[in-house]
Amino acid sequence: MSGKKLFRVGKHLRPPPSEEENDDDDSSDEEEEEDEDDEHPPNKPSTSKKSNANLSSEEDEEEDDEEDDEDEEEEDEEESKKKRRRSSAKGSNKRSKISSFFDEEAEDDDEDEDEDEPYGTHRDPDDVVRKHYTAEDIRKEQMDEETREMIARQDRRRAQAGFSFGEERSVAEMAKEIEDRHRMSRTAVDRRMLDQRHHRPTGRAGGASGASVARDDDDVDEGEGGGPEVTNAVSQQSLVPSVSDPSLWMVSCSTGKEQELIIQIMNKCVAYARQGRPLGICGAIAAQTKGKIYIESYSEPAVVEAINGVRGLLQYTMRLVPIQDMTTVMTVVPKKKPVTKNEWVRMTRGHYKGDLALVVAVRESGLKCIVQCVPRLDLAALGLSKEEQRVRKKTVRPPQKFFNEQELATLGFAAQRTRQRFPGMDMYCDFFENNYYQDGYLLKEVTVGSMVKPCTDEDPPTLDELQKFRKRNKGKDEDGDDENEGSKAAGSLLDELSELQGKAGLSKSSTSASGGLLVGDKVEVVEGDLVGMKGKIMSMDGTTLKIKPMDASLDIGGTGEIEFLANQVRKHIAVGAHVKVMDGRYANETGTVVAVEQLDGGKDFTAVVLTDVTNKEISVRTSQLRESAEQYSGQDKLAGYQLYDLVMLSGGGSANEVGVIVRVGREDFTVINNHGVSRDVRPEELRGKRNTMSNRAVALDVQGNQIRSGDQVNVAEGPHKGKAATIKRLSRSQLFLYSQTRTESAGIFVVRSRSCLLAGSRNQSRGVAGVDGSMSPFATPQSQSRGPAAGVRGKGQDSLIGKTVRIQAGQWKGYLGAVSDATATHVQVELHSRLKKVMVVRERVAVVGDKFGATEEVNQNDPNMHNGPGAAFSAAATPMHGGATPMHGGATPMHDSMSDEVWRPGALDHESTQEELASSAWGADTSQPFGSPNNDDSGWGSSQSGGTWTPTATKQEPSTSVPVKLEQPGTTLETHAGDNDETAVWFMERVCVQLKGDDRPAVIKEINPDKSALVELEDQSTKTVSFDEVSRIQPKEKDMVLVIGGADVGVEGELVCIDGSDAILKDANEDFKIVDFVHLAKIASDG
Amino acid sequence: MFYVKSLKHEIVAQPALFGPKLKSTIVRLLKEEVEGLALAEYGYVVNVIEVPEHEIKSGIIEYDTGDVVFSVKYTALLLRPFINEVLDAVVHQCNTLGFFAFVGPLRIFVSKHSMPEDMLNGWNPDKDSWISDDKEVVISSGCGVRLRIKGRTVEQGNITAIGTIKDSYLGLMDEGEEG
Repeated sequence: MSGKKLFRVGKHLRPPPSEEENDDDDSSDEEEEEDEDDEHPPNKPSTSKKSNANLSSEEDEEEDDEEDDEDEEEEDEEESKKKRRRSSAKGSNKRSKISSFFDEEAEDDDEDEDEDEPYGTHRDPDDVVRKHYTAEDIRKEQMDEETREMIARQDRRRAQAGFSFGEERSVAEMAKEIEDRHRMSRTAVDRRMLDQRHHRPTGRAGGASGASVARDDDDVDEGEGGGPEVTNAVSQQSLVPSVSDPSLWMVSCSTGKEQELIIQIMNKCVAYARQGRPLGICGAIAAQTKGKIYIESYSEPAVVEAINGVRGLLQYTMRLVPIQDMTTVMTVVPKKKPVTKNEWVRMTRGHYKGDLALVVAVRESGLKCIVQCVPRLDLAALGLSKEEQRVRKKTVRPPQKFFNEQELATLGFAAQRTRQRFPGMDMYCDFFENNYYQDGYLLKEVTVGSMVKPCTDEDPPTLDELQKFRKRNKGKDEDGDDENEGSKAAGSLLDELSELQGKAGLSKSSTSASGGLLVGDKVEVVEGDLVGMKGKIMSMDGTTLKIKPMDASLDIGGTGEIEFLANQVRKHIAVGAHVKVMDGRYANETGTVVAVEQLDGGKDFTAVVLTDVTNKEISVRTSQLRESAEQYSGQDKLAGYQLYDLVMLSGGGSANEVGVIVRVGREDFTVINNHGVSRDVRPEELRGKRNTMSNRAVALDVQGNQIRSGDQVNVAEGPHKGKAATIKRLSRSQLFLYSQTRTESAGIFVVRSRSCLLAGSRNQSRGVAGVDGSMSPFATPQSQSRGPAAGVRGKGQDSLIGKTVRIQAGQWKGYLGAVSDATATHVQVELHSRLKKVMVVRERVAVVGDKFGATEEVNQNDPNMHNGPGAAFSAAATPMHGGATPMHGGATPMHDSMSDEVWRPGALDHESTQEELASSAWGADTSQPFGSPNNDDSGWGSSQSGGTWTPTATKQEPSTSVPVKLEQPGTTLETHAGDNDETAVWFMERVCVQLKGDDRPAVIKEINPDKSALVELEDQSTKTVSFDEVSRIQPKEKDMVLVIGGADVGVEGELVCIDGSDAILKDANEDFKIVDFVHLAKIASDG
Repeated sequence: MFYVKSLKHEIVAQPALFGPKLKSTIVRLLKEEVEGLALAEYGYVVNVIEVPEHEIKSGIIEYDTGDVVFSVKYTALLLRPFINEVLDAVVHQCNTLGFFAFVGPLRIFVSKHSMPEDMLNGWNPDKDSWISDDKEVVISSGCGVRLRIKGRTVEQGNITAIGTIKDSYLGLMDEGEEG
């Protein structure tokens, strides 16, 4: 029975047992009990607050039960003592029983576990040597089955923890063990690992208590903080002592001797162990409590044994530490910080009582310091008699005022002022009336504690005080760089404070009261025995929080919630979390945390947040943050406008300037206009939103793909080349692209639509469709079929100014220009190709583009719109509409191969159309004579085909099989709105045409005002035809051509060759020009 | 991390699409709709691997629109970023705050605070790159970096992540074409 052995060993170590000794024991026990009786009530509230959750009520019960049980195994004298105790303590205090019970229970532990017997067997009455059996014991044993079960359970736990402390163990082993334990405390302690260490005596308690054996206060700091956070928190949790752990006894000693005594005990322990009679203690600790040491053991006699004979220990003061208080013993109270340089302090007495001061230097290792403060010099008192001065001193408190030499001089005290070195410091000061002044501040050596005390969190320097402290340099700016350090410090703190308080008017106290904590927040424990534990706040009650640990595997018994004080935790924000700023200067910003940094020495942490919308980095205290999925775009709205609205601008000089809001400020916006220039505008300068316009609008990319807002595009040229972005807004051909990776202008930049390429699969499928010829994506804009009526649209009074127009009749017919002015009847057009402004009747201009030049609808007034048979035409209109709807909904029909077209609405229509137009093969092929059927022009309807359409036979072949009308879905309705002309551009003098009736070529000689023309046929005969009756002839090489669109409009020349969609022509000056083929009209070679 | 998973998706097909090739149309629509999309809990759909024909069940007609809703099961290759996962990424763009790197469709931002200490002030606006104090490490667009994902933001149809290269074995892997 090794357990017993341990005890007996203990007994042997003592002086020979005698009555005296026993009495001694008794008395000390009684004393202890009394003490406890006294102490428990006051202790209790505080301990429950400490919230060591593992001491659950269940365990209390178990203890009680065990108490009954243990009587069996008590030795006689103990037994009687117990009875005595019970009778005396009965009804008075149950708690005392429990605690006194601990030691005895601990003895049991020793026995039980050292026996190495299976559970239950050791309870066999035959097995145990017992001197006495009381009838009561037997009765209890038989009766209390339940209790025994509980005990068995307890024992199982105990056995798991493992305990043995054999005498065979050598000193080396012990040393190694201590070392192990020590090491363990530094790294994270894994509970399972501990459990496996079966034979280790104090394995279970290793981290919390055992580890402290070899440590003293200086060591403590080192020991903490090792190991990964999570395991640390878990292990911390598991290490909270329970009933199965060794108990702790407190012994008083003289103050200052604690560590020395611990060494003595340790030496004693080692010496005894060497002799083969180890002391039965697990550890001895000199914690931070002054005049107390703690001894850890499973048995009380072992403790008595250990302290016996150690000089300086007051043996009779030995007292058991209640289990709830055990962690408190180990809690490391951070040392009081001595004042440090540049710290704000407050004067506590004397003339300057209550004044704010700044520590300039620390003397005598922190006992004294030199402070700087604003002097309260009473110059008026200087002239008075001593008696009067004394009275005045008591009644009048001079105001804070900076020391001023001039003032002194005017009062006639200049002589008393001398320059002196401040004793012990390397600075020269003004010395006046036994005080030193530097830069107007008073320098004074004071004792820390009595004269000054540091400004606490509850009593921080106020804004007012800081301003007073700083004021000096405001008025007197010549110092510049030399600004007094104290003043600077005040200034920086002021900035910080004002930042904290923010413009929202939040006072500092509101943020610091609860540390900005809310129910549901994730927090990390920063103080106490559970440092590092992370959890979630379940409820709050004033400053106490209930926290549920995040690691669900933690067993803390009971409810699963632990109480903490608000200042014991800090808000935990993980890197990568999406947060919202709740307070302060950046209130309401949202973003992602990219870094969390600790402020110097502070409890608070700063998080660097990358904001969502503005892509900026801001530093915010974690207490001001809250995890949130919400995205906030800075200021929401202002005057009805919000971020990314497309707005009309005014006051920019140009009438049709539009822009996108990229920042919403307090009273203004930043708008990026269609030139890509951003500027600040006031709400009054905006003339309304154009978001719906933008959403409806369609533009064309470099390949002629339709692009809308929301599409992804790649920028193909220009300064933004290579970027991928989403179309946020579009206005005519200007795209306002949004890229998440841009930090400027909230990610918005402006690109012309023609500089972009639609990204993604939609692009491809459209492109393929075009090549196959199954359906041209570059079809004629259907809107033109609306005819003249629609053409009037968009000619509002001022809307014309700034637009690019084409003059449709008269001397300047065909010329492009920008409208510079407009009256009710006339417009002034600034011609693009000539340096000239011409007045034109309003009706004679057609809008072809915005102020940046013509958009691509040069050929929009395609003749086939007008020459097609009316019936077929309207029939064709239906499929277009049928097709148009899905196009808006998702562009599906456009991607369809031929096979699907059967299913398209209106498919039958196109069949009939096909027949009707069967003859209208796209005969524009150079191999065909120009005298082909007059419908041949329909091939030219592809106004947007400039980019890809090539007039070669192979390309056109498939298109012959395709009904013309089929091409009409996929048009750019909006861009053409309002651009309809009554006649085509080419409908002008000298242009070669063919008559639709018989395909005879002709040349227009004269244009009549009624839209008819006098044409001269090949046979020199003339005829008057209307616009509808003729169609244009495709120019071929060597033909004389007139450029009717694009940049070179109005130029005449000889067509040299056709290269894809481009044509090269030689103009009158023998210069070569490259022009879009579609912009050419054949003219008679010699007028 | 890439993984393959069976997923379900509803395709709304318009009557115009009905016909002999309806199933292939549905597959095409499915690919158009889901490929490149980020599903909140599964990550990016990189590729629709297979759409078993028999899994395209007959659809249900919506009365108000006439469209038909098909529920389609398919297997897809997914890319999902996990927190603390280490990935090799290609730097796409550098700016004053850090750099953006891409792993396929996934955009990862690495802040300067998440770079090693000697790169914290290493932004070089002339070269548009981040350069360490000893000029050894140059991170510019096109470089390959190994990074660890620290955070993830799931938006509608899009996932972005925050990464760090401030750890052992993380950082520049490949200098890119320009060197």
